[in-house]
Amino acid sequence: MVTVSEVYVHLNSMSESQRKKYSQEEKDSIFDGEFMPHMDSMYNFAFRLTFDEDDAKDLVQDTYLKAYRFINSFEQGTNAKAWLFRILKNSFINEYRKKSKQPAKVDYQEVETFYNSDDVDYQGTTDLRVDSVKDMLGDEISNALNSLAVDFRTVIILCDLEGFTYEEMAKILDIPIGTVRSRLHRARNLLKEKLRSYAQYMGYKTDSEEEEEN
Amino acid sequence: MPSIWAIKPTPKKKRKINTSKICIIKIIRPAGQRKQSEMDKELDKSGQRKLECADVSRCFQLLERIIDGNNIPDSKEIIQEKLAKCQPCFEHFHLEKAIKEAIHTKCTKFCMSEDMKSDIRKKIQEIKLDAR
Repeated sequence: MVTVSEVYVHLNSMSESQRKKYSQEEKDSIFDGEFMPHMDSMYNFAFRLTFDEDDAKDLVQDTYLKAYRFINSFEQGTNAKAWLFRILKNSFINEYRKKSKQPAKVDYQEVETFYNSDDVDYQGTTDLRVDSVKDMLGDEISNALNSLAVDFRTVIILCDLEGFTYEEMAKILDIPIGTVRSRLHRARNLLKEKLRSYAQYMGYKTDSEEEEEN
Repeated sequence: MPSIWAIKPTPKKKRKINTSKICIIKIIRPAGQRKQSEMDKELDKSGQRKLECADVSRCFQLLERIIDGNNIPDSKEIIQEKLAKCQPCFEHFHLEKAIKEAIHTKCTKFCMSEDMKSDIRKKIQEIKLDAR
């Protein structure tokens, strides 16, 4: 099986003229057979990035139009979903992020330092309990996820919702694999903090509370 | 007429467990009575696990890579050994796994309405016709 990373390496080493030129029938077959089935996944990703139905729809539409335009860059039989997600993510960064002009919700200096290093400060376990997580409702988990900054939210969506590997995520996001790991770890720690707050609000005991009582 | 010995006794029907009821009981249990999972209790009693991990960074990173489905050789053996011997690794593994599963199974997947899909298909069709 060919992985998406192998495709990108292959594409990067190919000049424009070396890329395969598909016939009109082949283009239609790739588009309908390999691209169209991912429409719902793409919309889910787009909606979780923009939180707006119309923007999400525009983003998906824009992605499909670009995919058709650059279809010769796609190698048939490789990971079409990852290829489409990469286009969607780039469109979001280039157009929708500028349009929304949202203020940054994270300390970027701290994040940059973090991103540029593969070393992750793995701490001990938090006092969030497995049982508390299992008892949480979908809305509570969704809210916690949605409250994360977009870069952190994105890695969790790609990994946990869409099931991409670290290697595929690195290609989709254009970042080194070590950065994927560290960003994902950081994102999960932030998510755990949110979920711990929910757990306390819901009245579930955390380990630290139990220790205090004893 | 068949011999009486040829008639096999009817096997007792297995009692079906209504899992929906179990879930309801779990949700409404008051916070003060919440217990650790049975697995937790069992393994805590044995007292065999280290309470501190000698290399938290390396171990947690490895466990997360395994949970995320990356291809790690001997991953089953690694998990068995780590979870049996190290309490922080045990707790981290189960919490990370529970969060991942909760995100995957409980978060709403937003789907496109049929109107939206047909709009996009129309646009694509226009582009296809222009390209010909």
